[in-house]
Amino acid sequence: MDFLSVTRVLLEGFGQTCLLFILTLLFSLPLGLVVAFGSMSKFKPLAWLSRTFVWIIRGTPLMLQLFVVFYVPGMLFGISLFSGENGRFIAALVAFVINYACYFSEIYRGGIEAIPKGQYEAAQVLGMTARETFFTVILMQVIKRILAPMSNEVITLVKDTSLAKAIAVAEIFHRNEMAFLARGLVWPLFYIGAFFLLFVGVLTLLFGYLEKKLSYYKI
Amino acid sequence: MAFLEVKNLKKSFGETKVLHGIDFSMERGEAVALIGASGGGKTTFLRCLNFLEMADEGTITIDGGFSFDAEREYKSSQIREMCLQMGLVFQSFNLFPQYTALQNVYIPLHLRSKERIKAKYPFGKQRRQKIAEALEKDKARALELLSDVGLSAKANNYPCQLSGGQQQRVAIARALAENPAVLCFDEPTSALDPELTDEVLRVIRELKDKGCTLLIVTHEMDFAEHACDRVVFFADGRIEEQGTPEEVFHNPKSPKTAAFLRRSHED
Repeated sequence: MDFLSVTRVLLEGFGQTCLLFILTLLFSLPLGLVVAFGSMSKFKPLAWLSRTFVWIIRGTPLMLQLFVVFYVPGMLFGISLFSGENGRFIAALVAFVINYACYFSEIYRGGIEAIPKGQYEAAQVLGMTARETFFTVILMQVIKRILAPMSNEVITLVKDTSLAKAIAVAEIFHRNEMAFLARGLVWPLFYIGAFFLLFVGVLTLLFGYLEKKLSYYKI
Repeated sequence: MAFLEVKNLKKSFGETKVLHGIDFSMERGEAVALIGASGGGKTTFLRCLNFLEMADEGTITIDGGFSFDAEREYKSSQIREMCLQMGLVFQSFNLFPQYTALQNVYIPLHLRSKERIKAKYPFGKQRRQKIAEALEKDKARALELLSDVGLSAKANNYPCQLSGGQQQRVAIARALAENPAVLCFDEPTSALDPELTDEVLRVIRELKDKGCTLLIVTHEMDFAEHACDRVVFFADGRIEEQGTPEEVFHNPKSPKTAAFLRRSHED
């Protein structure tokens, strides 16, 4: 196996890794906000439900959640929701989205609750609706506050995608195992590290840029 | 009927009674100072007038504006309508940090313009055009208000780039944008360094000269005495005494007032 063909196979796997990463972010970022609003709801049963859900998701291994999403619908209802290669990918995506939405929700909640009451009061006496208050006044301040913890979580997500191997999603580790490890070729395993390092490096730069972009004001 | 008429306003927080039935009225163009020790209910009174707290009992009526009765249920849109009739300037300014001085003044104003336009023009090109026109008008109005408080040069600065006094002047401009019937101030200079209080008090004086109706909770006794038409002394959730500055400061009738004034002189 020469370097180029290893690179080609790993790149294919990393493509799946990236796709899983991006789609997970795309869905879990807004869903996290919904969960956060649930946890902060004044309607107690909803807040309780939401917080219990977050507790369960954060309290059990992501690997287990992957298995639950992938196998349980079939076990309970005898239907195979997630069949074939695409099915496995979607199952992984669902598990990741739920898991990360819960983590994000707590970051959002912390950010939202840290906004001084005076901001809401000022908006109220100026006649703003709750919706206007959130979107024109609060949200930008929350984003600025949560950027650092978010960057942590997002970087963790990049590496967590490799757990999808557990249900045979063709991400980079799975491809490596099928193509190389099974034949006793070990060095590509370390080569994978370079892919992740590079990707996380880009993300770090991106977050640094965002932080700089939002530094024009102080909270 | 007075311009602002408050009858039997009561407010409790749990077991603690903060306002014991306040009767209060003021005329258009009057500047009234609310003084009294902390915990006397001045701030709660002001917050009830601005619907940041909902009074438990009593009525608030504004001439030609609205009438609020604590007995009745109001929709949030009605409360917002009433909020717009009142203006409030906070002790801690509460400017929106991510917006410039100009944006702080015109964004809330423009949201209301947009709401009115959307109600009138359900959709289409005309609506977009009207909104664009309103945006220009609202910005122009915001600039005018900023220049009234002497801050046209700082219109594009962010709050963190302004001194406390300048921030408070922006907050005053912002509160004036919707032309409130009564502009309330909750200790507007308490968070400021002494050398910055003057510029804020000067702006408030100018507003009074222009005929604005002002209700000011303050610990600045000099200001209450020399710039206000009437002084109202709050103690233990009641109006203990009120009258012209001359009467209250120099011939207080109530021993509580006299004791409070003595203490505040010593400070």
